[in-house]
Formats: sequence, structure tokens, C-alpha cells
Amino acid sequence: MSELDLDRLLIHYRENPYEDFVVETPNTGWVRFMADDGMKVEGPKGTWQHIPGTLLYVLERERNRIPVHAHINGTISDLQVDLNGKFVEANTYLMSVRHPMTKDEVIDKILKQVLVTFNAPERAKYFFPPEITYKLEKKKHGTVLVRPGEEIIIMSLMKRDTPLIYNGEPGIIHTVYFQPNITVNQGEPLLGICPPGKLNYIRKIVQKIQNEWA
Amino acid sequence: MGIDSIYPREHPREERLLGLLEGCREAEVLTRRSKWGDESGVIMRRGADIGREFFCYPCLDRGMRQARELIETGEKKGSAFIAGGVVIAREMEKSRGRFDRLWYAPSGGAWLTLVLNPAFLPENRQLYSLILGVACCEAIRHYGVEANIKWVNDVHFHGQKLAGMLIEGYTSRTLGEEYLLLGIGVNVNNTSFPEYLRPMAGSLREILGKELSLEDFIALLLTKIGWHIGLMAHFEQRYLEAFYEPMKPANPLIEQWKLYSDTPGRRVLYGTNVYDEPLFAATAVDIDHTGAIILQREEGITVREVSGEIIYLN
Repeated sequence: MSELDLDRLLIHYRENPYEDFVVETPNTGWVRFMADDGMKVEGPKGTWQHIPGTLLYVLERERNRIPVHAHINGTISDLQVDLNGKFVEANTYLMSVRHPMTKDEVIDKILKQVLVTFNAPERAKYFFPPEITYKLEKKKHGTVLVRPGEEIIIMSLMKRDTPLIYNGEPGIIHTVYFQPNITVNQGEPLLGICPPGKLNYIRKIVQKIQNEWA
Repeated sequence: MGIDSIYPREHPREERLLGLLEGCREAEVLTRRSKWGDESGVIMRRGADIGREFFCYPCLDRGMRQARELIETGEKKGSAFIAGGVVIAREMEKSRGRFDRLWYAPSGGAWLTLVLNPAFLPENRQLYSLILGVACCEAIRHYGVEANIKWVNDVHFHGQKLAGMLIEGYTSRTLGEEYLLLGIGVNVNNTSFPEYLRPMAGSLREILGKELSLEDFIALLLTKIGWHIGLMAHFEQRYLEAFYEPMKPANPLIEQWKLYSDTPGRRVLYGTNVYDEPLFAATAVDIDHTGAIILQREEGITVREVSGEIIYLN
């Protein structure tokens, strides 16, 4: 884990406190836009994120109509208006959602550069095994150590429960990115693991951003 | 001390099951011929790994634990566990379901742990759960009991649960091989249940009023599982062949599941662990091609859940 040029990063995020989320088609089909360039959109809401975000476009293939909603709040930019009503291939770029980052999101984004992330292998629900839950409840935040070969999380998909084995360097669970009842997409981070010797460095990063980010 | 000396195996029962399984497979191919023609033999052979080896015990604490022990013991001797091996116990003392729930497994029931290597395409691996439900439902229906499937794969008859299944992924400690442990419990001849389970549990013997041959039932159940695993492999091949075609073949497993399930249209309570922590009530609309349940909530919102469980409210 190399040390970051934190001052430079903070200047960068102050000048450009946005993250652009690319919106691409998941499969082939006819595209019909339901949003305009510059329009403000909302992400999913509700206790289990069950209320869908703003409708961005509809993709239709063989009478199968797939409404695609915004996954995050922000403003539509770079809308490919010429594709409206056209048949497009999978992974065709349609628009971006420019999302204004909060202080916590900036901390998260910077921490992801220094923490070792443990990512979701499949779209599923995830929960901790009882012994990890117990440790997280009993021990102080940032002191639960995980070692290679340990069962760290259980992936639950259609009554198939798979214990996931941690195989990285020994480290401390610093950040838990998932919630037990919310489905996590494949590739999204589940945990941020910090090598024990780097805990103070990471705390300093968080403190500095907390103090200096308006 | 080896695990075989702790848990003595029933070798004659293992041999009997191998013979019964052979006969069941031949009968299955003949029955399926009317729909699948000559392909029925090919499909059955694709699922013929199921029941390649049996490990029968008079009593175990947990079948899953024993399967893990067998995997590790075999791998330490330098050989991976044979995919399709089945651990069977006449009774189990510390059997568990999901979320560490007690599973009552006395003598008379079919208590199996099937060990597989995950062979389906990654996007279809969750369908093993549906296969177990469909196969078990078919095996029970073979005896004239019109059982139904409650999403994901609980098999019940008029609200009384006859069978439950649980799948655990397992990566072996010795060789790092990936396994699926499919735990299956069917109330066949067992008729006594703890008081708290009595209103919601039932057995085939109670429904039919007669005892069944447990070996015959197990051989039939494994044949059905083998058929549907073979059918899934057959479907995946057809699907990949048609990958660039506009029309893709429909998954026969999903169609079969819908045929046996009484979930679509029901009012349900949904939760990841619905008995301890119900999340919301909804109407079950359907399942999609991945087996995920489509739920219509009261607010008019439709959600798709890939995991969790339901309780019927009507």
C-alpha cells in the first residue's frame, strides 16, 4: 500500500467534486429515452432500496420491455440523443449521471485507494458468520482481525449459502460496505481491509478529510 | 482414528442402492421418451454422476459435516471426492437448516447429502436449488401425492412441509477444490414430530397410510435429481449453440418449477430470515429465468429477490 499525496487528491476533489457514472445498455434492443440532458435524477430509495430511481430509458427486445432506472442521484449529461428509437448492441454508451459527492463519499473513494477491498463474487445477499458478527459487536470498531483461510462472509443466493474464504494479507476489517438485507451486485466491494500497521495512517487520512473538506 | 471407525458404514445398503438406482434410471429414460425422444438417454447419462458412490451410516450428527470430513480425508490421500457421491444417514442427531435452525431427522426419513462439483455456467449455479425442489416434488408425486413447491424449494402438501433442502458451497482445505453440498431431508416414514413442528410438518406415510421402501424412494429421488441436472446441462448446450441467435431456448427447469409451484399469485411475507426478521408483505407474481422471485408490494412497486424466503399469508 503506497502512501497517497492526500493534499493533491483533496485539491482535485474540491475542484471537481463529482463522479460520473456511465450508463450502458445491458443487452441489445430498441432504446427509448425517458430522461433529458441536464435533468436531475434520483437513485433508489426506501428501507431496502426497493423504490426504484428515476426512469432513464426503456430497452425493448422481442416484446420484453426492460425499464432502466438511475442507480444514483445526479444530473444527466452527455445524452446520446441520436440513439433514441434506435436498435443498439449490448454495452452501448447512452449517457452519464454526474453525481455530486458528499464528504463521506470522498472519504470512501480515497479509502478505497488504500484499503484492500474484498469484492462480491456474484449478485447476491451477504452476511457475516456468527463468530465475525460477535467479534464486530463486542470489539471496538477497527480491531477485528482477519487472516487468510478464515471464513469471512456468507454469500446467500437462492438457498445456496457459500462461505467466502479470505485469502489476502492479514488485516483489520475497517469498512463494511454491505447491509444484510440488501442485494449486492457482482464486483461491488463488501469489505475494506486494512493491514494492522497502517491503521493509524488511515485514521489520519479520515481525520484530515473531515477537517479540511467543507 | 479414521472417520469410518467412528461412524460404521452400512455396506449392504450401499450396494442395494446402486442396483436400485440403475433400474430407476432405465425406467426414467423410458418415461421421458414420449417428450424427449432419443435425447432422453443422452440427458439421463449427463446426470448419471448422481449416486456414483454411497456412504451409508446408521447415525450421524450432521450429513454436511460428514461430507466435509470425507472430502478432506480423501484429498489428504491424494484424490478428490467423486462428484455425485451421496452421504446417507438413517438418523441424524444435530441436523441444522438455514440460520442454524434445528432440523428434526429421526429414523424413517430420507436424510441425504449429495456432493457435487459446480458444473453449470456461473449464471445458472443458483438453479441447483430449483432442481432439488422440482426433483423432490416429482419423486413425491410418483407416489400419488400432489405436492407443491413453495419458493425456493420447500416441498409441501396442503401446507404441511414434506421436504426441505439446503445447499452449502465448500472449498476444500487440502486441494482447494470447489464443492456444492446439497442437503436434502424428506419425511418419508417418520411420523413423530416435536410439538412445535406438528402443525406444519407431515410425512408420506401419514398421507398415504402405509410405509414406503426408503431405499426405493431414495433411488427414485436421486434419479430425478440426475435427470434434471442432465436436462440443465442439455439446455446449457442448446443455449450456447443459439447464443448469437435472436431466439433462445426456454429453460425447461423454470417451466417445470412453475408447473409444480403454488407460489405465484399468493400473498406472502418475505425476509432474508423470514421467521425471525420478516421484512415486508407482498404478492408473489412469478419467478424469472434466474429463479428470482418477483414480488408486487402494496405501494405498487415490483421487486425481484434473488435470495431469502417466504411464508404464505393466504
